[in-house]
Amino acid sequence: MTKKGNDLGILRGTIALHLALLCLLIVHTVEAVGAGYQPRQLMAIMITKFPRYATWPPGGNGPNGKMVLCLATKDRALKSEIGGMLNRKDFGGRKWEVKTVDSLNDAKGYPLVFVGKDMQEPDDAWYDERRKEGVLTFGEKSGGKRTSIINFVVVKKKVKFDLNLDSAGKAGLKINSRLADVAREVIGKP
Amino acid sequence: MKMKNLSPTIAVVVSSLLTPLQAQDEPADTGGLADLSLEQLMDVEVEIVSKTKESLARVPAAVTVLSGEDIRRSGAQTIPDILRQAVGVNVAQQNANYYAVSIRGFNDVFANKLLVLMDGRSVYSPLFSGTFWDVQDTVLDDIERIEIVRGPGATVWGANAVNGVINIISKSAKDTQGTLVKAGFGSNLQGVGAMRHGMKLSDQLFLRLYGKYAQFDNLLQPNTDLSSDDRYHNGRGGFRLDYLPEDGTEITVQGEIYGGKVANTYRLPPAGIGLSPGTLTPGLSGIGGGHFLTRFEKQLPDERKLTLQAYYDRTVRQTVVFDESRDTGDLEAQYDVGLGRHQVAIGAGYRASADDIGRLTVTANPQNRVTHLFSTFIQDDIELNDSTHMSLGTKLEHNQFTGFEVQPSIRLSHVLDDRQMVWASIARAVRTPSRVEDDVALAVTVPVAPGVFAPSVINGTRAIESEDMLAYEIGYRVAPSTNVTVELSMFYNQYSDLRTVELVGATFIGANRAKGESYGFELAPVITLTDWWQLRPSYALLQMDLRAAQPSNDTRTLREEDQSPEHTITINSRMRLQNNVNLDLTARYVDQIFVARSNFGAGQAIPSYWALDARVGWRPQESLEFAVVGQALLDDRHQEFSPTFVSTRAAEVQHSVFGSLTYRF
Repeated sequence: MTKKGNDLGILRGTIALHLALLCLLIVHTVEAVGAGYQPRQLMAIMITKFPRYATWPPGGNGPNGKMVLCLATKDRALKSEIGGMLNRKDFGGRKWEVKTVDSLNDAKGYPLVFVGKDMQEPDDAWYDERRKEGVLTFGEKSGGKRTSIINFVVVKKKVKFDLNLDSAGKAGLKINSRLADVAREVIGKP
Repeated sequence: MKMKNLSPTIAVVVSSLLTPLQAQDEPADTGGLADLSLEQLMDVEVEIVSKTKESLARVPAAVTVLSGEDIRRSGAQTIPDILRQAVGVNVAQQNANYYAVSIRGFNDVFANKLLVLMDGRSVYSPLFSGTFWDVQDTVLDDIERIEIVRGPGATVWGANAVNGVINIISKSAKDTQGTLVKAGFGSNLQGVGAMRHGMKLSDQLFLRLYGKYAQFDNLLQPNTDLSSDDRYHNGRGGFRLDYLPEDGTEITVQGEIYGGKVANTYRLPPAGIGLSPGTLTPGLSGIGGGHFLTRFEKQLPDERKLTLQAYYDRTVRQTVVFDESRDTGDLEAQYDVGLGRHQVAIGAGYRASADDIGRLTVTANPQNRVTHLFSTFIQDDIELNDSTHMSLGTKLEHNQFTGFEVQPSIRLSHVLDDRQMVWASIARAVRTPSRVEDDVALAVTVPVAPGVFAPSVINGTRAIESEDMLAYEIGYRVAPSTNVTVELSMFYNQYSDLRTVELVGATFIGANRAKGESYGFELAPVITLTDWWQLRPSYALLQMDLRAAQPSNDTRTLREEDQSPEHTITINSRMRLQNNVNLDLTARYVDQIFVARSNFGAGQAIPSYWALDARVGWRPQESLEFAVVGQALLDDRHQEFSPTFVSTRAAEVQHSVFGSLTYRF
């Protein structure tokens, strides 16, 4: 910086910027910040493990050959994070494919659906529609209403999951009891 | 985006950009996670980072990261040679031990607008404003990555991060367990030996000990077979201790000592006016020093994080023409907190640097000086919506050269869709004066008539001010297919108060009478042709226009606009062949340059050149690797740079061959 006048002006400007930022923080509603990329990276790998614990109804959407995961979200970052990890990849000898939709209404006909936290939770009507075809739902909500069968949570830098057996029943899925043994929390009864 | 914490960000950036490469190198593509059971996965710790740091799509800056794999497969044996791989980084070797390294212009052996750090420790010399590359080294296999930010980073890193920042980050001691032995021999690099031993002291405590020695041969003077007398050797030993308890705390303690000898031939100014430009004086300079650094990081509940860092650094350089000893102490604190859609970082720092300067062509007044630097910064990353982030921040510093400096920035990123993002930024950065510019009288030779030379002096002055830059950048990243990613960064920089050297009577004195602009772009695609072959071509364009802002008789400074190449092309090919053999080729085109201020007389034009580096690596087993590296293979020799302020001999880079063996157990 060369000119004292400029110096003073910029100094005032930067102090004003400091104050503005602090004010912005003070008035802003505090809310939880979502999990970072790496937790989602882990979630993606964990998703590949769950199908072996679920039994789809006969004639339903049960995975045959290629495994297809539907991402229901408008969050482009989430699409690229989970999708980038799984799409067209081979896990345990099975090809994975990821489809993305902007609405739960379009999340039909898939054996696996990941519901982004930006979306409304699937309601009973949605599950009723899925009952005959079966669907394993995943979510990542840290609070509020959580109806996904598998809901991921980050606890002390580790990714855990809650298991909602009520939703599994509504979705027409049978869940192996071993999954309940490792879940952080189990909602409902088999 | 919080620039200072780019490390995890950039790691993700690179993993995203280079996914095809990683898939090629690691078939599992998940670092082994896919092989773990559900129960084991639930025990894997994850890094809790802010949303703004979670993906490449959110990084509103021009960044390149060279991973450990990039470094290994480059075949390079010095850090400047490693940097040749990165788009937009201009590396020119002046002689065996002097490198000119810069980003977006103003290249020089003392390129003063590029901030370089190693593990968060500044290695930017306050003496000349630049980096002494001959002492920046480590066991290259223990470098985790090198982060390169093109463009200003001053809002968090502070002054002198004007045109770029290079951060060299070593691996945690936890990740370097076991013993590594490396030995290599070659034509230019005559010999290198490195040994590292990592041990687990407890479940949470890890230690790494290392040592390295390297010896480089003389190069040749331009257009002759005469030696340029610029050989050098150095050795170093150090340790890194990492304490990693499970409560989110990370404590790192590391230290190193080094020493060596550097040959150079300096031209001492003549005693009086005459036909002699001065006396060529060969000499062996002593270099040495060391550092001790401690860093404490604590992950607190609710996405808060506290980082404290302190280091002490000592550097000693005793050359034929100048001596410097310097002790630096640095303290930094940073607090990160997530507040809803805001991720806020607040930091403060203090640095004291005490020096002792003198010798034949350098007279410092005062000879000893202690300078103090106080700094604070605040930065807020705001998630405007799911696709758009804005980062506002500013750094406020007080230094003893120019007083208060403020360096604000605003950055914006927008994710267009799964495969595209755009970003833009405006930032201000300054380059503060060096000790030489402030206090030192530098004896030089000047031409007074054709073939007639006279001694003169460049006097430092405390009236000199910081050089200013206002930078405008935009960038675009796209992955048009799963096998292709492209990164484009464009910039327009406005400089003011650039340093000039004015002739006043019979001596020179520093001033700030130049200004100018630079603009250009960097284009860096990554193309995965097959699962065993990847291409990384890149192109960088740089245009500069420097001119006098006030009446000035310094015409040489304005020629610095030609001191960096306008066009630079790099084509990197990586092939994984059968039987664990890798073939890696890098071709580089560097446009012609004109180096001003050679001997403070006439400058020198350096022609454009193509260079080809090749490396063949063979891993007969996981623990053993043989490598043969050829550098500058397209010609016998070529010149890349020429001396500027410090009048040493010029030299030409010769083609060279180097072979190495690396064994881990």
